[in-house]
Amino acid sequence: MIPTNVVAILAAAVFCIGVFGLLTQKSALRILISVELVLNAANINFVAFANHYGHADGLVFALFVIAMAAAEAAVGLAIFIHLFRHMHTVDVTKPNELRW
Amino acid sequence: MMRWLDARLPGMLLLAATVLAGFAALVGTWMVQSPWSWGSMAKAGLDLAPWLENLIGFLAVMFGFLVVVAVAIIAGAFTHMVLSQRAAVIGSLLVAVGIFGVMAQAIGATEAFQADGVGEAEDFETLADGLFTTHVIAFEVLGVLLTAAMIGAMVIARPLGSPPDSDNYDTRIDDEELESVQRTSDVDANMEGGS
Repeated sequence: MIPTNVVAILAAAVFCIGVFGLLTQKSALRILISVELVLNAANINFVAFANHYGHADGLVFALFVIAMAAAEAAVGLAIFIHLFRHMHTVDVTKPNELRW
Repeated sequence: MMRWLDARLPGMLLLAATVLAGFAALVGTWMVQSPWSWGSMAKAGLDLAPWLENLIGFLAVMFGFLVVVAVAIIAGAFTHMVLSQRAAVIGSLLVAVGIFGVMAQAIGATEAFQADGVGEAEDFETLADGLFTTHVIAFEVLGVLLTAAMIGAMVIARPLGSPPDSDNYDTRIDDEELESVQRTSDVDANMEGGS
């Protein structure tokens, strides 16, 4: 079986890749993918520590995080559709006002 | 010189405060965890003269302060320079690698997680029990959240100038056009009719 700290370091790496993507990417879709990476790093940690302690609560919360990520992706994509209709781009550096 | 400073001062102050807080946290972590910290010195039986301890502490704090000031100035300069794209990528890479370094060090230093896990959590009965008894309130709240997100996504992604709140847009349409909107619900037709 894989030691827990190896899995935790994997989760840290995925989280940092997500943070890097959040800081560098300009396309809204890539930013959304980066947010998913961050959330799934948390999922890896949930599952790893659920296995470490033998509790199923971590798995339950991983399911909650997946559902919440789905809701967040739906709302995010809807906002991007709206953004594209107004600005004809999904480059997040282009819109500079909230009044649409 | 002063004009761009005036225009960008709030953003630069915010950026500098963020960078300062981050580096203060990093320096604080380093000072607590480094082998040259005072706790480690005392543990190792290294009894320095008080003035030398003060000098080392002063130099460490000054070094951290200089790093913070330098990074804040550079980061503030990057906000208005043309080469900010490459600089932002490099800075972001540094931030990501720094976060990963701190996390990996903390994970590696925690001895409880070096061992294999218990590994009894892949029991589906326990999982269902947790989902539908212990955390059933959270489960139901999550259902409400998903429903609200679905409705919100539908409302946000609605075509422009749709009937329910067409007054909120600049593209005002009259009743005749409203009927055509309801018939076709074509985005381009709405744009032409409004403007």
